[in-house]
Amino acid sequence: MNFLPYLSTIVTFAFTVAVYNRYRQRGGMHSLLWAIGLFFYGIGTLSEVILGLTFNVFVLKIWYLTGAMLTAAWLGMGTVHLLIRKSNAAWVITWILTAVSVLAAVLIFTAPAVSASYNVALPASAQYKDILTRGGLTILLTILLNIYGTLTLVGGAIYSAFLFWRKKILANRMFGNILIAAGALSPALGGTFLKAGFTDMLYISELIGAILMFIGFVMSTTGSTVAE
Amino acid sequence: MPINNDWHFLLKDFFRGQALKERTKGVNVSANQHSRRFSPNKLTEKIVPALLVVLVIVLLAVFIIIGLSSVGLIPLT
Repeated sequence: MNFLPYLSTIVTFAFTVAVYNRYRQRGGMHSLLWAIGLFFYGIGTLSEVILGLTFNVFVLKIWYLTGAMLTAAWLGMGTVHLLIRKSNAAWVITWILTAVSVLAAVLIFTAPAVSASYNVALPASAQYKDILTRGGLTILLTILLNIYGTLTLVGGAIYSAFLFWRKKILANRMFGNILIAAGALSPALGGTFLKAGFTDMLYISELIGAILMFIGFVMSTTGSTVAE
Repeated sequence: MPINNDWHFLLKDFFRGQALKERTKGVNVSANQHSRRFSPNKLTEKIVPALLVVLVIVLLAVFIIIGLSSVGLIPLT
């Protein structure tokens, strides 16, 4: 299973570049925020690659911060900007998320950790709780950030797909959003399996999630002639 | 009457509570190359709604499981 993060990292960084290029070509804060979220996704899976080779407390903290706390929230933030364009609400939430992200980083990097018991042959997801001491606020922020991110990213994609279905237009974007929703749900399910003790499921779910979302993104954007 | 029924227009239109058909009333939407309307078939009429419902159920299930485990009703780690 240790090869899965390699594939996830390649797919995710390719996805990040694709989304960032779209932002450079067509603008749109949602694209930039998605690129940031995907960059966190890629950093998280890259950390899994490194932790499969050697242990480093800093890398483990980066893995937890990006993978467990920030990725879903920043991806969801992009969707919020897409759906709520004229209101300042999206910007207010963005600044709140930025502040919360900084707080999360401070909490993680100042959290005590022990490295003696780490086994590189096992997934980081199976061991981090024994190494990284997480306070109540860290756990609370992790839960809130993931609820916000999953709800906005998956909910937004389902909602968009529903709109296209109802209007019977842009089938490519309708199917693309269904794939994005399914892909975004995959790591959320992996996290749930992780809590149930199926630690290997996280790596599989991350790869499936990245692939599905990438295909969904390509489907949604290919052949689009309408300027955003 | 020009039609601007792109993705974001639809999303904005929805939030304003305006129906697309009112904006395009009397206009042959299918003649617009940007509208990209698709013809209803078995896939779009049956499978797509089912997929959307399944996704919503899974999304709710994840939240319910996490919620129940957070309050200690499901003994997850």
